[in-house]
Amino acid sequence: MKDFKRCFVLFSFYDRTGIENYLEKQAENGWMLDRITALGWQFKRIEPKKIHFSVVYFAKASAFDPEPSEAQLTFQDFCEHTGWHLAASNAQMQIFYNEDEQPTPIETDALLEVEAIHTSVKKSLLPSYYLFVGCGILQALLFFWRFSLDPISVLASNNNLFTGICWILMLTIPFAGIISYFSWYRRANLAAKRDGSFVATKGHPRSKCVILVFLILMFVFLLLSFADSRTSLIAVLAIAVVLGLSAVILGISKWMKRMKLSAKINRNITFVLSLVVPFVFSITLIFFVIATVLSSPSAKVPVDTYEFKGQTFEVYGDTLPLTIEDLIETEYDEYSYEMHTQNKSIFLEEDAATQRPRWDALTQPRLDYSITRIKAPFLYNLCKKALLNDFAHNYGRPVPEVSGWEKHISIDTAPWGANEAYQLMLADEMQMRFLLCYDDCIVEIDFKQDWQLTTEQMKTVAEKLGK
Amino acid sequence: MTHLPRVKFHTLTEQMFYTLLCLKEECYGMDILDRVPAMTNQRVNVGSGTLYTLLEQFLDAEMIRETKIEGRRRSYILTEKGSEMLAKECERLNAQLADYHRIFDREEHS
Repeated sequence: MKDFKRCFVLFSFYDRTGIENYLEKQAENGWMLDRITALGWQFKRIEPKKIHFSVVYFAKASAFDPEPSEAQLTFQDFCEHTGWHLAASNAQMQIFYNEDEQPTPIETDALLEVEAIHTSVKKSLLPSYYLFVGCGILQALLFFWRFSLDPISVLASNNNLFTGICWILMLTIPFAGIISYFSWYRRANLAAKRDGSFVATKGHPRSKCVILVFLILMFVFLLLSFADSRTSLIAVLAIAVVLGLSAVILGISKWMKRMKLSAKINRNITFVLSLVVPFVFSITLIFFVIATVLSSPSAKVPVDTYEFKGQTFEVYGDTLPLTIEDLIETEYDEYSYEMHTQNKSIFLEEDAATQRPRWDALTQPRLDYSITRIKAPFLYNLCKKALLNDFAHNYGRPVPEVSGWEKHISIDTAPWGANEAYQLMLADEMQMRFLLCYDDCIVEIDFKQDWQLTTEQMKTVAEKLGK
Repeated sequence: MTHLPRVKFHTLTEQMFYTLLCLKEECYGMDILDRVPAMTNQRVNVGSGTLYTLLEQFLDAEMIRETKIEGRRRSYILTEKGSEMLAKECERLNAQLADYHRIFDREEHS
């Protein structure tokens, strides 16, 4: 039988009522709070019994104190005198227990108690909440800015979606925390002044638990969704290193406490480390990813290589849904067939294909196309609008001084078998570039060279790509 | 309904009143925890945390002063300012009591 257990709790720092109820229930089940660590609350086995707990806040204490100050020890002496023994403490939060049947509470003046909580919360909880809200707002704004510029690349990437949702949730938790705290403080202050009563605190641990489980599930889903194991490995490594670095910073802070360095020195060093270490880590990670991607061989294996003007070029033999040979008869047989799955998410999938002749045969036709498959029908119009916009800008290379330089012209849909069809016009000249809207996919196709499109070829495009 | 903020020490709560009353004579802070219930026949109890905060606030407001420090045990005594505030609170309570009697005694006589 285990004599110790560790629990991961999600109480708010100021949730006096929730923590007291939780600890009293644990004691009734035979578990007594032993100490509070960064890895959870440790409990030791005891005889199951009714024990009273009191969570009080000693504003002068700090998480960086090498040992309790004289004032804190005097405070504890006062509590001992009335039968309250210290069970554990965490920064300003002091948890006492009392085995008497009806002990005198530690705090008998609600107004003084509310003010003690408020002073401690201002010192420890609110600064971290404000920092998170600031970072969250910045990241959420960046996410929406990227979404407004290029919604498809955001929606088609599980990575982008995950990061965006994570930051929005990260913003929600401290934001809700701040609102919830000030709402409680306002009511508690009024009640204490009105009739001296203490308004019970609510830390919403269940909501936090739900958000945490949701984040973990999303991360697992993200890992599973990565097409190649190398990206998954980098993501897992990044998380592991972040956790490892956090442990190192906590460890250094703990070591400074053991070395009896003052709270001020400890706090300043820990603060600097918390800024510098993640920065160094981010830079290292970026270089590592770039080095890995650049140095490791591509997942795709070329079927051939050739030399042209002193440079080596690779030839690929991917299977393409539509080839030049499907459209015209050609004797040229040295094409490179390249299929790229650019992005894939639960909402969208973007594929791009290129069939290119060798550099020494540039007079041969070339074909480029991309297919955006829309798995969530409600995103169809948004994608169409973005692609039409992108279609003109990507191919049109707009010249800002000349208005109406590029535009998409609606064309007859019948030969393409599409619901909507557009052709690019560049400086009043029709280009061989088309945007074709089918039921659940949108195709952009670019016929290079002076290609004379026939109705038969359009039908083939519809059959091969529009399904 | 709006509530006027409690101006610090403008009126004294029962716990403040009895804590100051205990300090008419030099007394260890911790002893006040036992003296107040004894003085009030267990009607008023001051919590240890509340007493600690009150003593700090009374010291800041110069209503009491430290007389002795023995390790972590400190004793205090009421200052002139503290005595005045206690007397003022007594006057206020007496006035309240007098008002009560004036109203109810009049009703009994009529």
